[in-house]
Parts: sequence; C-alpha cells; structure tokens
Amino acid sequence: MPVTLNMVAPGKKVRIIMVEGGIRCRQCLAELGVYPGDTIKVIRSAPFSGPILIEANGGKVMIGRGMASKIIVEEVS
Amino acid sequence: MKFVLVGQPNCGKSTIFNYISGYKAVTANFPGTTVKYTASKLYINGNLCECVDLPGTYSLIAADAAEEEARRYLLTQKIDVIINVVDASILSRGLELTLELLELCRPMVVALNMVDEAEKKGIHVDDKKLANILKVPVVKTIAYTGQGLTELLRTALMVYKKKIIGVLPVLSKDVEDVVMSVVERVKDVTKGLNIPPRFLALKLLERDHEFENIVLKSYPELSLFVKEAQKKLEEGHGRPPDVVVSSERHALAMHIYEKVVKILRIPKPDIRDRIDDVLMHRFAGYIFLFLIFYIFFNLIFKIGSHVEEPLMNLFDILLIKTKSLFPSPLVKTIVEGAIQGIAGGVAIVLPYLVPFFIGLALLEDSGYLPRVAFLLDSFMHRIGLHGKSVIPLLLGYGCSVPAVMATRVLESERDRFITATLSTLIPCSARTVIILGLVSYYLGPNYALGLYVVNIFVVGISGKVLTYLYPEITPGLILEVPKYHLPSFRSIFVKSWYRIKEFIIIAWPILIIGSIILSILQFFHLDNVINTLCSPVTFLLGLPTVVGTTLIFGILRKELSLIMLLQALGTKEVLYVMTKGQILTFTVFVIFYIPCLATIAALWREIGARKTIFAILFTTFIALLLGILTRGISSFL
Repeated sequence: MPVTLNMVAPGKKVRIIMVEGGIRCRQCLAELGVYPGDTIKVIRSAPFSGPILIEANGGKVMIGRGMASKIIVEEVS
Repeated sequence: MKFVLVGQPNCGKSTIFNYISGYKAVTANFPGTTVKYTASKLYINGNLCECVDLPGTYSLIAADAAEEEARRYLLTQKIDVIINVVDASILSRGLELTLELLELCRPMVVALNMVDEAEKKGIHVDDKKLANILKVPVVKTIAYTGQGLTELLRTALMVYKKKIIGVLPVLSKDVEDVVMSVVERVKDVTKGLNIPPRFLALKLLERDHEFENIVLKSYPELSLFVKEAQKKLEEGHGRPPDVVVSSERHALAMHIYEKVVKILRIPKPDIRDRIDDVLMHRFAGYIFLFLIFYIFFNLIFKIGSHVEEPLMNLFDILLIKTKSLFPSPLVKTIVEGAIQGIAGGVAIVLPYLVPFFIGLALLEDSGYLPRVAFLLDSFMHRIGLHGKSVIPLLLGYGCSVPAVMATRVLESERDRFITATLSTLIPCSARTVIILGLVSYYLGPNYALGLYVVNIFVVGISGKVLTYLYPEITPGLILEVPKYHLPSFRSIFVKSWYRIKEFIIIAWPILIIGSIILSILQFFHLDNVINTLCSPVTFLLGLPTVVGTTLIFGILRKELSLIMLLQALGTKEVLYVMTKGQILTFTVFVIFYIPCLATIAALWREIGARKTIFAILFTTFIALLLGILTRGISSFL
C-alpha cells in the first residue's frame, strides 16, 4: 500500500513510486541518486520531526520531513 | 594546457588536487567545501599544465550556487582535459555525472577513486571493462595515499594528445528520437554559445532553469518546439520530461554499473554504522553533540592559557629591557608598539588559534558536521532555516569569511542571506581569542561558556526576526551523509598550517602595524579624537573612553580589539582599570558589532551591497542592545 516516506519506520525497505514535489525537489533528489523505481532503505529518523536518513544506491542521504512527505513509496519485503 | 578536476562532492577531488599541487585546496568531509575553484600550475613529463579544482557537483543541472560555478566554468572556459573523479564505493551515482560529462565532448579521463573503500564494501570494479564501455581511459586511484595519481596525470596528458573524447550515451529509441529532433533545432543557437548541441537539447528537455532563461527567451519558436517535444516525452512515459531524461541516464548508469561491478561478498557490518547508531541517536546523539563541543572549547582554552602566561611574562621582561635602550621618546613609543603587536600575535592569538584550527580540521575531515545538520535540522526549522545552514554556521566558529562563502550550498537566496548574516554573529576564532583571553582569563571559563550559550540564543532569536522580515518557506533539506574518515595526519597538519599561515602573513602584520599606529596616535594624543568620536557608544556601554580606538581598529581585524585594548589601557592587568562588568560588556559588544573588513567583502560578493549594509546595521544594533543589557545586568554582579 502506498504511503509517504515520512510514515515509514526505520529499518524498512521501500520502493519509490513517485515524487510529488516540484521540479527543484525532483532534481535535488535525483542528484543524490534517489529516483522513482529505486529501492531505498530507511535507516533512522531524527526526533522533533527532524529529517529521515535513507540509504540509496550505496550512499546515505538525509531528507527533511517536509520533503519526505512528498515522496510516495511502497514497502517491499 | 588546462586540466580540470570534476566530480561529485566528497569523491576526493580536492585530495587529488592537493596531492598533485602541494596543498592549496581546502578539503573537508561535507559537500560544498570548494565553493570557488582553485588553480595550480605543475609540470607533467616536462609539460607545463594548469590544474583546476572545481566545486563538487552532483550533476550538470545547476541546483545551487556552488554547482552553478562548476558548470559555468565547464561551459565557458577553454578546457583541454576533464579529469572526472568518481567515488568507486558509490559508483552508480557517480556514473550519472560521468555520462553527462561525456556529452560535453572534451578529452576525458576517469579517476576511479577510493577503490580501497569499495573493496571494503565487497565491491570490485572492472576498470578495463568500464573504460571499454565509456571509451575513455579509467585509472584506479586512492587519493589520500597518492596511489595511481602519477599514472592519472600521465593518462590525462595522453588523452589530451590523442584527443580521446569517449562515446555519447545513447538513450532508448523513442527518447533518443525526441532528443535528436531538438538537436537539429538548436544547432544554430549553440554556434554562438560554444556548447555541444546535444548537451543543450538534453538540458532544455530537462527544463534546466538557466538554459531556459538564456535560450528560450530569445528564441520563441524554439521554445514552442521544445514544449512540444517535452509533451511528447511526458505523454509517452507518463512522467514529467525532466524525470524521463534523468531516469534514462540513471538507468544507463545502473546498467553500466551492473556490467562492471562484481559483488565479492555481502558487506560486513561496518563499524562506522555503529558509530552513527550512537552519534545520530535520537537521545544520545545530542549528549555527544554537547560533549564534543564542550571538550573542543575547553581543550583550546586549557592549552591556550597554559601557553599564554609564560609567553606574556617573557615579553614583559623584553619590553622593560628594550625601553631602556632607546633614549628618544618617540622611537621608544614606536618600538614599544611593535613589541606589543608581536607579543599579541605570539602570546595571545596563536596559543588559542593553533589548537582551534587543529580541532576544527579534525571535526571537518571526520565527517561529523553533516551529522550535526541531521540532529539540528528541526531546530533550524524553528528559526526558518533548515539543517544545511548548520554547516556555514559551524564554520563561522572558525572564520566568518569561509562561513559566508559556504552559504552557497543553500538553494534559496533568502536562506543564503539569512544564514550569511547569522554566521557573522557567531564568534569566529579571532573573537574566540578575545572571549578566552579576556573573559575566561579574568572572569573564569564558566563566563566564557555562558557567552557561547547566550550567543546561540541570540543567533536563534535573530534568525526568527529575519525570518519574520523575509517570510518565505525554506525548501526542505536534502543532504548527503558521507562516510566517516579517519582524518589523516598530513591533511590535518597541512590544513591547519594553511589557515595559521593566513593569520601570520595577513593578520599579524596588520596587528603589528595597527599597534604601532596606535602608539604614535597616543604619543601625539590623537587617539583622543577617535575616542571622542566613539564616545556616544562607549558612554552608552559604560566603558572607559580609551577603548573607542580599539573598537575602530577591531573592524580591521577582530583580534586587534584585544591587543589594542591592552595597549590603550597601558597595562596587561586589565582589572586595574576595568571592572569585571566592563570587561564582559566590552566582549559582548565586540562579539556582535560590525563584521571585520574581510567578512564585509565576502558578504558583498555573496549577498550584494544592499543586504550587506543591512547586515552591518543589524549586527551593530544587536551589539548595542546586548552591550547595554550586559551593562545593566553586570551592575548587579
């Protein structure tokens, strides 16, 4: 079932379905190797609605909550 | 002949550059360290080459100011060879930039860097196969040990002589058709721009902001055609055109990656991930954050004060001895001023500056700073910024100039302005010297620590105020978290030395000259004129009028305020002439008032004249306000 990235619990692997943000947001994510269709792993999240740390294509990237809420993903087993 | 190093942030470009040019670029383990390019000349096999280190760029779509700098350089300068540095441990992402660079049709060589790191992760890269696919040479390197770098330069020379430009990446049939149709249309346009038509076509389809502005405005027909082409892509793939093109490149990079990479084994659990379990922990992370910075500043103070005292005593003896040597009172004054200036540099500034720069280099190279951004992002949101702003602000503890320049990694102009202004409020190393040498020395280290805490609150409140004045939602945070690096002794040493050298050759002479000028002014009683001019400020703050001159000199270099203070008061025992409250008020004012000249110049360049003037007025207002407040509070002490 599709959810937004900010809802995913740490430790879970998800596939990106689409990025709802504007072109800047998509470009920023693509630059760091985060594309629709890719499988990423949520590693941890910071408290006080802080950012989420993910692993994508071998690199680690932190994504702010606001941005994460625009990334639609589905869980993969 | 010009060689240009291009690569994604943290891929080791600057380390390679430093190795081949004898340490000129500043490296650090976070994106955006090289915000301006650095150039150096060197000989390769007897050929004189210019080697340029560009800011790290994830792609050739310019998303922030640092990336724009890199792209503009690539597109406008005459470049003979592109040395594309790729981090082998995250090869698939790095290849995307490589594919974009191939579109530039320049002689190119790929430096497959950090192969040791990749092997550790269980990744083996077949460099010959990769070279065969890209049709450009690939050289395996380990930048920090220097392995493969001589071969890299030799290959670059060969690439230049044989003009090896590699093959253009071919996309899927339908996308390729659309691209080619645009290529036909932009051919005339690119003649004047000196850009390969295919590169321009791709970037227009990707809706590159800058190219859209330059090209489409002056060619309305082309604009319509590109819109049609974009629509075709969108309809064919059900995705926005920029995603279609970038996904093509992504897929191609993944495809190449799978062909050239052999996974030797499942990566062993990395000890560095365990470190993050603690340092990025939602609770323990903050405790360590506090501890790390507490130890950092405490250590600097301990080391500094242990060195300062004996050195100062030494200079006191020297001063008394030399005084008797010169009969003429004017010469005596000048010599006295010079010695005080020299003493200020050796005994007061350097004892704190040296450990500070070593500590800062350790923090930067280890890769801890992006973790701080992770922990503090939500707090930064509260003052209207986001986590990336933490890095310029932290750099501000070193020097405001690089801090202001580091704001280039921020995406929005508003964030850049607010962060740059706030970073000038952070006590830089020069002001740290004042805090430690004055407040910590005369009032105790707890007062100094208190000042730092108050400073953080002031920065926070100022951020809130600026956000209120410039209401605009900050774009969210996206930041790479690099692997931890054990900082190499050589890199730490060279980097600290580079910064200390800057103090010795630029600031110290100013200190000495300033000190002599003040002596002469005092001799002719001219300092009274300046002091009278500054008297409204000193009166408001309840400070002795003689400190007026020191405040003016402090704008040149902040350290001057301290050294001039000792000189203006005519004693090293400040407590004889100033109360503890006055010392505190003076320091508070000096921390916040007008940024030093070098910082003003940096601000001017980065945020423009109008905003710079605003920043100066804003910081001075804060300084006055807090100075008066401190005066009031300290009268109860």
